[in-house]
Amino acid sequence: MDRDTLKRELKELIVRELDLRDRTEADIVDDAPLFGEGLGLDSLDALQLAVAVEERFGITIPEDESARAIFASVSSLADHILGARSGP
Amino acid sequence: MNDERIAITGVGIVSALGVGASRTFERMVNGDRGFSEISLFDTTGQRTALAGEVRGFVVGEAVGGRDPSRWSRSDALALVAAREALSSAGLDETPRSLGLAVGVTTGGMLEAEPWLATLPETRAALRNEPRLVSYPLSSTVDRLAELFHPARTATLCSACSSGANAIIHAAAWLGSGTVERVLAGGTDALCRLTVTGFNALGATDTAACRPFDKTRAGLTLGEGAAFLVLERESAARQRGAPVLAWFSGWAAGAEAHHITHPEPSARRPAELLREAMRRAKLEPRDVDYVNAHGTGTLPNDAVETAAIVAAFGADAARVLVSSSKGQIGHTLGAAGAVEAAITVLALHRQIVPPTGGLVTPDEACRLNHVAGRGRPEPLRAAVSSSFGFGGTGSVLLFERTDAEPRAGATPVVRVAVTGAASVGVRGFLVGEDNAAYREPATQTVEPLEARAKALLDPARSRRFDAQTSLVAAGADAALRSAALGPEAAGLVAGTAFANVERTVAFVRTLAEKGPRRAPPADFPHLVPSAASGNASIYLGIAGPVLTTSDRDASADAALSIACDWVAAGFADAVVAGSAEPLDVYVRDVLGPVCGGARGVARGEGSSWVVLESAAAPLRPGMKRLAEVRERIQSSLAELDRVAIDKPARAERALVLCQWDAPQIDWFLARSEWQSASRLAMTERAGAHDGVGGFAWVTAAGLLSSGKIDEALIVGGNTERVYVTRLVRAE
Repeated sequence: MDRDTLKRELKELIVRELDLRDRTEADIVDDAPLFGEGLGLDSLDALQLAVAVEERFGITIPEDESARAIFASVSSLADHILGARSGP
Repeated sequence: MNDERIAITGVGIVSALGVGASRTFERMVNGDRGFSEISLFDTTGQRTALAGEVRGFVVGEAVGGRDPSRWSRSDALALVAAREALSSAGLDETPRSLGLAVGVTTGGMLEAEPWLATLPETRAALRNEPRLVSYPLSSTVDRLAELFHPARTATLCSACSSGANAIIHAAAWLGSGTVERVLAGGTDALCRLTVTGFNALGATDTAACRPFDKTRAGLTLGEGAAFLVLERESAARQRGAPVLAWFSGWAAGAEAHHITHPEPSARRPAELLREAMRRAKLEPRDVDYVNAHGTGTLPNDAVETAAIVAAFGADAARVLVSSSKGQIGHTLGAAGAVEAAITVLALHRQIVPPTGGLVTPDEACRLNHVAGRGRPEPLRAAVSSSFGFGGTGSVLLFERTDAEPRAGATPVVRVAVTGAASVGVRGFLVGEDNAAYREPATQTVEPLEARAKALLDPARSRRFDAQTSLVAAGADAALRSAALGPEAAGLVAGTAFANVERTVAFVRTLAEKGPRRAPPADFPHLVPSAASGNASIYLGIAGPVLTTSDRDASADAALSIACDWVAAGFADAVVAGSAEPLDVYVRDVLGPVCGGARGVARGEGSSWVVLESAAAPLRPGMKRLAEVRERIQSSLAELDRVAIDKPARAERALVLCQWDAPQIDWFLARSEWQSASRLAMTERAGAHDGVGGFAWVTAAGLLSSGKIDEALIVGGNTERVYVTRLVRAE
């Protein structure tokens, strides 16, 4: 899966899993912060997204502080998934 | 008018530290901790399986010769604790003039989980499945009522403050003179749902929890039950019962912030602590001990510390603090009751139990902690705090037996209906328009969920299911029709089974994919009080927020509790009613198994009234629609002992019935109400467990528009009947 397709799929996943009924994929900017201000997402959303991403892409997202950087934006999340899938 | 004190004359506890209040308390003082790996069910793949399980507790043994398939573990834990409480109070098992109030959240979930994981959406063969009889939240009340024959019953759910609210509810009944004594408590068994959910939220400590410690990393779940016997002072004195402590103060309210996270400023919990002291006419300097909620999570313990510091001021450095959860775990719906019982024993024995697991207090939790072992201390008054999902908080204040009585009678408040709204087969109706339900109607095809969601802000109602949407939209419209701001109101919502479809989805994911795939954000929506909790956050409700359950009479139960709290002055105003959306599992399985013999197609609906003091000054745009007069709750079997005044003019009176039984016909005939017109509400508002609320909005609409002078609302189920007389407001 190329990076752009992955990012598009991630945005669809975010809208669906986090029940963003008043938003569409187009409202989510690749490099904009996902949590805090902006989309109005919180730590509960982060947990939900982690479980959904782990299931969909067959990867593991660490429980420690490094998760914060992975979930910084759609771009960083896509990078993590691509790295985890091409890794050892 | 009643200025009697409330005496605690009995306690019973079942906890991970043992069966029996003394055993639990003595092991607690000894510094023992009751944690072990869960043996009740498979915990493969769970982040942690450590919990405060009541080891060796077997339902079949606990319930004696009764059919154990009808009793959940939660029910059985409650039975053992309730019996101990009655016996320690020197009462037999069927005391006269008894109220029964139970706080619960998991109920029969443990036993239902294997069924829910495999349930097809429709299966007639399951209709007689006795194992699901204990599924509804009201099961514990129903099972205990079979033994104790209480005159009044109430099920209360407000997540982790449920048990505390059952005890506050006892004070409402005793204050109004409804009953002479109340068996009030809470119960919750461990189950896969809560273990998976708290693990998925990352809220659990993988080691045993360490409340207030700088290394604390989450909570440890537990299970158990506790009951108190609360009596009017005169009733206790009359039978020469020893008093263990006085129940002198309480407060309940909501912070309307977030479903799982406490509001960081701790403003509302601090207010509740102060309000409980004010009600008891005590100052911070008079209180010597706080049995804290103290879950062991990072946010709870820090915010709770801030609340204690804010409420106690300079006395925060002196007042002793401990959390029982470091030894018995977080027992959820039971916690408020278990910890109230421990607080009573601390006062009675003059020993402060410790916080298990606390070694080095966190900088953010600087309080006068008691750690390690319990220690003897002169305690005059003590507080027990509980805070739950949705931001619902309750504070109880107890005093030592030698406390001086303080004058100050609390008048019983006359209750008026000041707002009404419904979403049902006739669409979205507000105020007097609800009189339209006088005429029979057929079910519309449009599902109500879409109608409710259209009334809500999508950004602030994410993850709202149909029930939550209907509670939020209905309660909002009722408050607006009363010209009342949400910050001045409480919220009491009835639901027979809460959201079964969503619970099935969660349990099925757990069964099929394992605990690591369970959706974390769904879990806080599965506690039966989720709809009222979420709606309180959406609306900004600051008063008490409660959910109740009584099968077909769930709306009637909610209105009854709301009237009790307003009449007792525990809330200035309450928006109360119920929301029952279509749920295939309720329609096809739980309704037929747990409900009555109604052979009609199941409907849906959401109906709400605002209740407040009839003496409250009128606000601009506000109208009193009706006034509440007699309120009766009776078991069907004892309805022949109940009397109500006959209508002044039968042609100007109306009976609105939600339930039919020969005993009700006889009651209406004997009270000379049989000549008034009678409306069968299920033919007008659909057959569902919230139809009693439609009787209220219809009656309020008809009374307000002058079409009738008085209305008798009769709701019920196979066990009990609720009768309320409404009249035109003066």
